[in-house]
Amino acid sequence: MKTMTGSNEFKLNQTPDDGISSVKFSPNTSQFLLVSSWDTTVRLYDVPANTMRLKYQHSGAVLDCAFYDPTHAWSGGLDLQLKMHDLNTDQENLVGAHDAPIRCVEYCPEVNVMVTGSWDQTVKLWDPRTPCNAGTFSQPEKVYTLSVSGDRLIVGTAGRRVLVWDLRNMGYVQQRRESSLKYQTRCIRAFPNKQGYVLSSIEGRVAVEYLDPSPEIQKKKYAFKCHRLKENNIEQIYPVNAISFHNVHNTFATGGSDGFVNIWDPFNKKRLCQFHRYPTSIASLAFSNDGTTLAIASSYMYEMDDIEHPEDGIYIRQVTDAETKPKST
Amino acid sequence: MGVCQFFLRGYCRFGERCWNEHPRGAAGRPGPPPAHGTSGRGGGWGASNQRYSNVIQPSSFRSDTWGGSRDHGRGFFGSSDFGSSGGSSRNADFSQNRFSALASSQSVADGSKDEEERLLECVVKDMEIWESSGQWIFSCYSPMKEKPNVSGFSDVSPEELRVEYYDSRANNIVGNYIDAVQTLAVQWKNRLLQLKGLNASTKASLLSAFKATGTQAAPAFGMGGQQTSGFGLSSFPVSSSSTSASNFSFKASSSLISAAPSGSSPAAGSSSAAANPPAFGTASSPSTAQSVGFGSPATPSAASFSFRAASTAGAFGTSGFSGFGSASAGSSASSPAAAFGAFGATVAPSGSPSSGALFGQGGGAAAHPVTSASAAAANASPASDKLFTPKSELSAEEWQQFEAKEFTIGRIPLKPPPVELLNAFDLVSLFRSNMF
Repeated sequence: MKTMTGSNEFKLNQTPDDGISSVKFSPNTSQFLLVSSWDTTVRLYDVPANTMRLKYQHSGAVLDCAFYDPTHAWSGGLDLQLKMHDLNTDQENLVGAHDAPIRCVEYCPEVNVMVTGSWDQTVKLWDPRTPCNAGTFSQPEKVYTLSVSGDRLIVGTAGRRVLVWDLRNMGYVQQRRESSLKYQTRCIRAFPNKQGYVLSSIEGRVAVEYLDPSPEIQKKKYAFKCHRLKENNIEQIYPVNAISFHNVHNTFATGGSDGFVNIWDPFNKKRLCQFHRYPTSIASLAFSNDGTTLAIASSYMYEMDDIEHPEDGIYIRQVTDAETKPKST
Repeated sequence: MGVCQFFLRGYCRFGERCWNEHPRGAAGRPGPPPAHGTSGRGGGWGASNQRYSNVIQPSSFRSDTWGGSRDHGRGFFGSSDFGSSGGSSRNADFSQNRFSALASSQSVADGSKDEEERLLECVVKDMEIWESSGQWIFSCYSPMKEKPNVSGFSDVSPEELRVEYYDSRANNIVGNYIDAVQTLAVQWKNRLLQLKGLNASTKASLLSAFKATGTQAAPAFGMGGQQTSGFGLSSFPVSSSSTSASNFSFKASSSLISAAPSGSSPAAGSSSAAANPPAFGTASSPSTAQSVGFGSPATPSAASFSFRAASTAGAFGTSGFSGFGSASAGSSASSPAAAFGAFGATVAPSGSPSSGALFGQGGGAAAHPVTSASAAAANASPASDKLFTPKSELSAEEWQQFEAKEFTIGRIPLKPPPVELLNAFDLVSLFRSNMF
């Protein structure tokens, strides 16, 4: 039974009991979605059938999850432990740990390595085959976000620092950068075309940056305001919590605490589309690999008396080219 | 509570309702100023509008719906961000962002003086916006690219704050958590006001900090080059991820739960080079600390300021604290209000037991001005170091104050509120409303 929330959108059943921290589609199909939550579970959903296929636990809130391959999920969070779970056999494997909560879990297909970032100021690499730790690398600050771009890793930390690492050669930092934005970094995601990355902050602003350090390329970078609402003539500024790229078009969606999802065309510098407002803050976004589906996690917030209480929800939306493809002039 | 700057210019839109002081004899033109709404301006914020639109009195800004404005209609999203061109003017040249404007000015020979002024103006403007926009307050800040982060602001991400809250809830010490957050919010506000007001010494220290590019600048409070980390709040040892005890640590920038290199004590942990010195916003101006702490008229505004007025968002928390703000603004129940007032009142008393550690923990050079502030704070607060005052110890008048919707200026109790009037559950859920 699907609760349609739009002509091309429905809400997933059996959503977690507490806030959703991350949603990720399976790498080779839009059928499966992995969801991590503050209710300490990681769940796997069969999206078209709208059922929960599997659920496993951590001992603390789970802050991020990722697929290594279609049958293995990795996750980490407040219990400091990095777990790998075989989705076919339902077997769990405690791979390792950090010294502080694990904030990000990602996979790099080009180098075949799992990457985790933590508030203990380190990034750790893991060999998914054994599985075991393949190195610990200090960052200047707590890791808030990270993204894989080809064989490179872009790490966003507290203090507005951004570091670019070469995953094949972690002996030194390839690039030390600073966020172009004035405030705390919220999310970084790399362009599928590996040219650069998008960085969002708590200040309703997004920056598009390029990896090539040469001045001609660096000149192309820009930033824009978004996810701001005017109330009583005063602009209210919301953090932009989530970014997800459409793999084919290289356009990206952003989600903010204002409850809106916008899709942007970075080449023409236009907004392609804005969806209806979701009941509450957008915590995470994920495009499926083929770009046909967008998962939107809108997470529970307690409301004041005079306003209704929205629930957590994961909304699955079929997106069209009109919404995601850059307009050709 | 400070003197109302707008009133001094003859321009305060709140008139008698204004929470700041309107000294008689300094009034200029009477009557409300012309509407400087930004209605005609799309998403943009012209500089002039910002200066007058940031004084928010919670009670007058109830938000009902958010139906409102779609910011940025279709089309160019470059609006309003390019240097001085506010408004939705369409800049043809999108390669120009505010940073490139700066780059060109730096190459001008005598541009350095202008650059400094521009920088300072930028800081002031940013502070004004930060104050009024409900933006997340626990964030570092740098006015321009390649300038180091301004000291006094530390990063705490929303997830980290939520973790603290969950931990405190699990250990039934939400009160501690609320106090900790309130203290941090106060520190933020003080630092913000300092930067907004920009007196000579703040200016000087800011400029010297900016000149020291390349190294992390020395903190602006003369705290030596110490890169102390963490909010002073973490006078309680560590470990928030385990469900430890009555103490919880509120680590901010980089002291971490048994972070690898630094070992267990937060003070030791501070040696890990933090990008930002802690938010000892109160340090440099002991008088500020005092006015915040002592249930003086400063308190109500201190308590309410950090929370975005009216809650816009009913549904949408941004800065983690709109929930609290709206509690005081809208709610008719007395308990949230009392609890709210409690924040102000408790800043001093609950601050005091930890304040020794709190301030003392700041690195070596830390501090003279700091310790005197904390000493002053500690001495002046007569209340015990309990978190709540038993009803039996409160005078009738104090009880009345706590029960009232708002404190009466001049009669704000110096003791912490009684636990009976503090409804932690309300606060807890209000807080949660902003976490996701």
